[in-house]
Amino acid sequence: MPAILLLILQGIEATISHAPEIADIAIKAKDFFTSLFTAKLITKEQQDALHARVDATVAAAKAGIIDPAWKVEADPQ
Amino acid sequence: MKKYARDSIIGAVMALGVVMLLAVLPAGCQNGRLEQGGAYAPATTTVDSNGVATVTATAAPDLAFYQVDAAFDLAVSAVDFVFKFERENRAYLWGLDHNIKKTLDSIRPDAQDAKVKYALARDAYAKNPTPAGLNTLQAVLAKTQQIVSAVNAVLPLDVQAKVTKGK
Repeated sequence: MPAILLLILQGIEATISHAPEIADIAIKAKDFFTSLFTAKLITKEQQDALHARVDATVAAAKAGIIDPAWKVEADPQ
Repeated sequence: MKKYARDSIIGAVMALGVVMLLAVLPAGCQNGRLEQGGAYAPATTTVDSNGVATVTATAAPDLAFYQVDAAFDLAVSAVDFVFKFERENRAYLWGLDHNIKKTLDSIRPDAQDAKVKYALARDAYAKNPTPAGLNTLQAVLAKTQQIVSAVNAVLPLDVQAKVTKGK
């Protein structure tokens, strides 16, 4: 694996341990990045977890459920 | 307002930069391998009378579908982070610049619409996995990735870091 890719993965790992508030995103980024640039095995568990997450996202979207942060709300006074 | 530990600010800014970059990378590179039996490489396992297990694929492993779903999942998370960040720090950001909320508000309906479009394209692909169907998924993904770039332009990482440092 090229050195720069290794550095990026190490950066993501460091973030997961030091910035818990965005650890979730960092873990997803690491899995995605790994699948693009390495021949590492994507486990059944990883596949099933991703599939379930996307299933939940699209089910909510189709049902018209909108997270409050995704809604246009009134401007602050 | 939500408070972040001082030490995590630098890590968060760095990582979010990486995530924003990765969220707009094209999916479809064929480097990963899917373990049989997962959702994107379905298989059944039979055990004969001698206790020997045989795993048989029930469909061809679909690495491209995995990567498109993974890219979409990452893009949605990245957009969600920015929308939530703005909402949780709304009063402060409104004081900094009214255009932050106004511009994100102009993006919010498109972001939600992209999720719906991806849902419909994904359903169609699941029922009938064809190259054309995968192209449709990738086209919707590309739109979602444009939204990632758009929200990052509105609320760039240095502003996020300034907000968290100022608390």
